[in-house]
Amino acid sequence: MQYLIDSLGTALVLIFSLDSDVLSTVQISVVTSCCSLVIAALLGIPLGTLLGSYRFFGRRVCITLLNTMMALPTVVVGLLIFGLFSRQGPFGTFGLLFTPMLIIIGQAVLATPIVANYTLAAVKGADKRILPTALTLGASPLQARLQLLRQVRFGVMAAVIAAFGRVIAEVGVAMMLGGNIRGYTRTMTTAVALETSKGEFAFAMALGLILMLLALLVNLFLNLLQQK
Amino acid sequence: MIMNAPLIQLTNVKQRKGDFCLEVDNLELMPAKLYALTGPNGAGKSSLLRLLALLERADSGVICFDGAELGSEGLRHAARNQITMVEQEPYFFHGTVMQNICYGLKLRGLPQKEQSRRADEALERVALSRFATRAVDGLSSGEARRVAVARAIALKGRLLLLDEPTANVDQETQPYFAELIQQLLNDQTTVLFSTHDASLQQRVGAKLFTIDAGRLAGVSTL
Repeated sequence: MQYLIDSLGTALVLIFSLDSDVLSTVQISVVTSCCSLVIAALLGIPLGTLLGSYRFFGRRVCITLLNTMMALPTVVVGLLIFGLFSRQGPFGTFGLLFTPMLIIIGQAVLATPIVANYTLAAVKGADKRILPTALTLGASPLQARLQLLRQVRFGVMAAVIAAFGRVIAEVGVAMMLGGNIRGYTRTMTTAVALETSKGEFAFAMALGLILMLLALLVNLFLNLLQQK
Repeated sequence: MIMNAPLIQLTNVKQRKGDFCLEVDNLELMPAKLYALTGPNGAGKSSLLRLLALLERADSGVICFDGAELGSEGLRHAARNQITMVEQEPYFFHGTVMQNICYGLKLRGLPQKEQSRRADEALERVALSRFATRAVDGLSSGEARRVAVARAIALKGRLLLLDEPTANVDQETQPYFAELIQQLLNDQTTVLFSTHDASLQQRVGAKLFTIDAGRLAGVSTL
């Protein structure tokens, strides 16, 4: 027990003294997660809106695919993208393996189905009068859908926040595609795994505490939005 | 604009929704005229209005607006800019009454000043001038109906469709609609309203269409 208490004390010192290793790891995590989230939002929000507001052939298949992708283990996504971007893979010439860029791509693949699915649910649950009202007031079909998104903006924001929760806490993609290079591709989750195995429990605990704090903030915000 | 040519014309239009089939052999709405549409519940009044508002497509037949056959989405969108519809239970976007009225005006690219002027004018016509900054959430059903009408007339479209404008509206509010509908004639607006209220149709002197089981039965002039 004393070991835990001592580690917790050291972890708090590391956090409050703004330890450079801790800060750089947090920064890499937050930057890669935010970048992947931007990509996921740009792809997922239109996709969810499309699936939620249009009826077309193959729609059910798309929704089933999205649901399946939401449940994909992160290591499977990591494995797939590793295969594509490894030196022998079709995109190997880009030289992206073990770079933050590939972590961003991998995390975007994880986050997009979440954003799309939550957006789809928000759009499907929206008042059925929104689109006809916008259209009768002179909106084009695209403008009407943008107005629909404005009306369900809290649902869409919840989608983005839920996806952030997923990517900031994942290990598989960051480990397999980033390679856990210190100060370059080492994220909070991969650092926790590595430092624990090295016996640097206090350092791992400092990152763990920050991750927990982030998860708490994300969930608080999500709850707040869901009550709106 | 040719005054003796129909503003909107439906020819041999059919629309099927499950067991229900809406059939219109010929319907012509002339510019700057008043029309009423009546029929029992479920006869197809709202479906016909939605078809006229170009919110839905017909399975067959021809719809012409201002002499042009509406086929492509581009033409339908252009025509929709001239048509406004007030639903029986109107939807309001989150925000204030003013923001709701300005939505369509903004889409038309009007300057801010002109948007405010038109919105104020429309609110004045429905006797709700004080409501501009009110949140739409707190409106009573009668007020909501009037705000929806203000939102539609602010656009100065050429065809206004009203789905049962006086249904579930208190006695005090009803005369506003009769007066307003008649005023709209002065703006050269064609108005078609569905109603169960024979007195409204008589008061405004509208031509009457009747619809039964999806078939537009006929027209009579009072």
